[in-house]
Amino acid sequence: METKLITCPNAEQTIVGYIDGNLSTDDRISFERHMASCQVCRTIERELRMTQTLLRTLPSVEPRQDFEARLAARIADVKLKPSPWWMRVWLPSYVKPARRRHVAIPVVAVASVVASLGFVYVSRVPTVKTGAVQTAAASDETAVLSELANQHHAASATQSLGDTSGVVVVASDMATGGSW
Amino acid sequence: MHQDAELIARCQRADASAFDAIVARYKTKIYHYLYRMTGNAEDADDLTQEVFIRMYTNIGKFRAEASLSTWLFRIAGNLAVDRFRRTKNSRRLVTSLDAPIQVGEEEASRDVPDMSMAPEVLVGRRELADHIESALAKLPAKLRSAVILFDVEGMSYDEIAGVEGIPLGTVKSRIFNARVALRDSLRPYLETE
Ligand SMILES: [Zn+2]
Repeated sequence: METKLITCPNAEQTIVGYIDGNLSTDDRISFERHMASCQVCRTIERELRMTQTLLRTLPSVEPRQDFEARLAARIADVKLKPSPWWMRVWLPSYVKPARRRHVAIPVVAVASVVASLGFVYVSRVPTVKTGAVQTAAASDETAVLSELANQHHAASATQSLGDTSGVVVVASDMATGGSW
Repeated sequence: MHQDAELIARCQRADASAFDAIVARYKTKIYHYLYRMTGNAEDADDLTQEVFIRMYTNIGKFRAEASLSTWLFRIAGNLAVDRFRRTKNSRRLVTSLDAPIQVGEEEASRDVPDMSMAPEVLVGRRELADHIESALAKLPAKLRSAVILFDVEGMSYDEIAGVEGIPLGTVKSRIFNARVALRDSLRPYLETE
């Protein structure tokens, strides 16, 4: 069996692995042998283990009881903006669906709602393209849009739409991507 | 894992109950991570909501082979870092009065004739937690995230590597460096031999 020599300057990953129980049996035995003759590593190992123990004494915390209700409200708000198709066809079940009235709203009215939403959208999030969304929306999604319009009016009556600063619109690199 | 994949697939087929199930499953873990990252309940709450809103708006882009947990924690980590950049010296790590339900103390506050629940012990515990929290706050976000994911969230090195998008060796270095810095901040609380 090969015995690896661990020199102190290279030991940090070994010490972490040792404390966390992630070393192979051979590496663990080698490191224990090294610690037996190395005061420095022994001290570091002991202090870091105690530090870990302290960290694990932090109490658990839980989100507020009304977390889902507030999330639903924010998602409903997001839905009022022109958005990818999958956002417009479903909502979490705890979002109360708006009254479904599949009566087509006159195209002009729909267009003006779309335009005004689009305007708000653009003014808040200058980088997002809305043209494609509006074009797609105008063609075959009148029913969805009428519901959107209903929700918009309902929401306007009961809540402020002004503060959407924290609400998203997809920053896809943030949402899906890169390391930091 | 398997269950996550199924929930995601159902979400992508517009099954709203699957979205609810994912929220129920992950909200406490994500909140806890963000609470430890930001040091305050208000930001943690806001950002946890933001994580699920982003999941909701991006669900169509999610690839079936990816891990939902990794994806959610990655969004959360990015949001936390972004929040730091925007509110550098604001009310971070003010945790005493508006702290959320602290499970340990919830029990502790009941009338139990047990000396470990004596006021001075509780004050000591609160004080220790405050010190640990401010020690965490002093860490660079990358180190803080690694050590929280491991020691608080109980993730494996591999999972952390996935969340942070870094090699395994870097995960170990970050955890090591984080613990060294925490040890230095918390030295008064370390027992001496
Ligand atoms: Zn040594």
